[in-house]
Amino acid sequence: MKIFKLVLTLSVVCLISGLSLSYFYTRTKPVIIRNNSDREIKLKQEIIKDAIEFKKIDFVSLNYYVEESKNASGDVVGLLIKNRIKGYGGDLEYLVGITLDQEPKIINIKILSHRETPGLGAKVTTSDFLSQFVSRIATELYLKKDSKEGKIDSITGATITSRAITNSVREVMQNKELYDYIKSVQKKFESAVSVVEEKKVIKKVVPENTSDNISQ
Amino acid sequence: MKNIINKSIETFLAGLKENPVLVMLIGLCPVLACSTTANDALGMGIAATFVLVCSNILVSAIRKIIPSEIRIPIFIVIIATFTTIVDYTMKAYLPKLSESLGVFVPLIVVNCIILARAESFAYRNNIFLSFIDGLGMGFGFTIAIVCVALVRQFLGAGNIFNSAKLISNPILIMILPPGAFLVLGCLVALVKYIENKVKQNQPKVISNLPSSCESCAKKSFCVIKIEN
Repeated sequence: MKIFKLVLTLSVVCLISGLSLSYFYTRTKPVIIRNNSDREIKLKQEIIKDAIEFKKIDFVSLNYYVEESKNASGDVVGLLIKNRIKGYGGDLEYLVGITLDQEPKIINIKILSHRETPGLGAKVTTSDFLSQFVSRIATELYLKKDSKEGKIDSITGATITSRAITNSVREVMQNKELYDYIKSVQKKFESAVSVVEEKKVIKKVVPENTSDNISQ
Repeated sequence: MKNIINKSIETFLAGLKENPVLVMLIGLCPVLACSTTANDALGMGIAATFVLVCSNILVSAIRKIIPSEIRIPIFIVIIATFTTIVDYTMKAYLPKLSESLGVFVPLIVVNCIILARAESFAYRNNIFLSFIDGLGMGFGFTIAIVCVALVRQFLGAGNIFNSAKLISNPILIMILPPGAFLVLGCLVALVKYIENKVKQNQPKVISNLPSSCESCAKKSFCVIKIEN
C-alpha cells in the first residue's frame, strides 16, 4: 500500500511542476523569439548601413544562408551571409556582410550566438576583435600567428575561437559558387549602368582614385 | 517575538559565518566558472539565491507531506522547476546576462548548496526560518563569488564591473581557469586566518569561575552552568 502513496506523491509533485513550467514557457516564449529576431534585424542593419530590404538567395551546394541586401533605391549593396560553425565551447553563429566588388571586401561582421567561455572566448563579440575584419579581403583573413599575410590578432587566451571564425569567414569568401554569383551580379550591374555611366566617366575617375589612395 | 527576531538574525548570519563557499567549500563549480567578470558573478549569485530561497520555502511548506523515502527526488524536481523558471525569465528579459552565463544557469539544479539546504535545513524547520536561511546562504554565496570575480577581473582583465582598464598589463592567467583556483585558495586561506585570529583573541572565561552560579553577578545573562 505504501508504494502507491509514494508513487502518488511524486506524480502529483511532478504534475504541478510540469504545469507551472508550461505556464512560464508559454509566457516567456514569445518574448524570447521577439528578442532574437529583433536582435538579428538590428545586427543586419548595423552590418550594412543603407540596407532596408533583405532577400534570401538559394544556392544548391552552400550550407549557409545568404541574403541579398538592397538599399532604398533598389540597388544591391551587399551580400549578407549567416553561418554556423564549431567554436571552442559549441556552436557559434555569425553574420557577415560582403561587398560585390571584383575582390569582395568585408563590410562588417557580428556574432549572433555563441557558447564560448565567459571572459575569454566570449570576447569575440567585442568590437576590439571584430573591427579587425572590416574592409579585409579573403587573402588577409589569417591569424597573424598562422600566416605572414594575416592581419587578424587573435584574442588572448582564445586562439581556437579566433581561428575558427577567421578561417570560416575566409572559406565563405573564397567559396566558388558565391564568387560566381557575385560575378554574375556585377555583370548585370555593369550592363545596366554602362549606358548611364558613359556620360559620367570623367567625373567618376577622380573620386575613385582618391578613395584608392586612402585605402592603400 | 524577540526570540523569533534573534533566531532569524542568527540564521541569517550563519550564512555568512558558515559561508557555503569559503568555509563549507560546497557549490564551487559556478564559483570557479562564472567568476571571470563581476557582472556575471553577481547575476549568477542572484539567480542561485532566488532558486535557493524559493526551493527552501516550498520544501519547508510541504515538508509534512513529503515521505522521507522519496524526499531527494522531490527536492530535485522542485529545484529543477525553479531553475528552469529562472532560465526562461532570464532569456526573455535579461538576454545579455543569460548569454554570458550560458550553460551555468541550468546547472544551478546540481548546485549542492541548494540541495544541502533543502535537506538539512528546510526539511526540518518552519517556512519563515527556511526563508531567512535561504536568504543568508544565498547572500553568503553571492558575496563569495563576487569577491573571487572582483579579484580575478581586476588582476586578469584590469577592470572592475564595466569600468575602463585600470592596469595596463593584466596577468592573463587570473581569468583563465587556473586563476579561479588560485584566487579561491587564497580567499579560503584568508578566511581561515581571520577565524583563527578571532578564536585566539576571545577572552578565556573558564579560568576564574566563581564557586557557584547563585553568587555570581552575571548570572542573569550567563550561558555557562556550573554543576556542583
